[in-house]
Amino acid sequence: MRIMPPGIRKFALVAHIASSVGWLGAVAGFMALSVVGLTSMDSLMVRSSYLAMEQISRFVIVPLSLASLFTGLVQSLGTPWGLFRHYWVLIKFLLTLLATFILLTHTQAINYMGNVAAKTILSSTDFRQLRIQLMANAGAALIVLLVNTGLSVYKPRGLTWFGHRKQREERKML
Amino acid sequence: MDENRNHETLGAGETMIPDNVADPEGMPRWVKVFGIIGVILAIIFVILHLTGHGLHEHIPSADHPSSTDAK
Repeated sequence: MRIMPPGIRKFALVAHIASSVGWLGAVAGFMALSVVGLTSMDSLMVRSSYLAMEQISRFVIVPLSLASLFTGLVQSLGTPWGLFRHYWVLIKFLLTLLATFILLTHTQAINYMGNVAAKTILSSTDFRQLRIQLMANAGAALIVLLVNTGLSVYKPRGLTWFGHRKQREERKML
Repeated sequence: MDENRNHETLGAGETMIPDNVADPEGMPRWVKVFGIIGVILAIIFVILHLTGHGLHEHIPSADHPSSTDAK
């Protein structure tokens, strides 16, 4: 892929930061709702939480995760960083891919809870395991996204085997 | 610290790899730590799923609406 001109690169960077940080914030909101849904004694509050979680997941978290993955790919392949040259870029990409995959495979559970909440009044013991796991998954996702944010900011050094090879090739050309 | 600054910034020169630093060819320690944590988490994930603690195990199927999880 060709290196992007500075103007387009800035735009792509803004899109990547906005989608990634937005994803992090949306997951934090999702987790807060999952805690309320699990611990609240107010049935109306519980119902509202799961209904909101379904909508946040469908209209915010899933689109932002896909946008983050896509803009991250553009950002790495369209700049000298590359996708496979630096460990931090590669690990961040793998973590984003994994988080997106797990999110997409778990939307069924989120939608299920949303549908149940829409049709019935949930007591504190109904679907308890599922509700605990939704909260745990949100916590795990939050950790992964925080790690990704840290990797983006610190950019820990280290070239992959591919990065070393490219570096040698570039030095030979000079 | 200068090495870090060179490494982090993506300036007009576009040199991602600092010329004055010979990057060791081996895998950095932090990558190894990440790898070990990743393997441990993957093992825990597989064990949880094999022992029936995966998320989908708690979703009642259409054929069996009366799940043990549901009241």
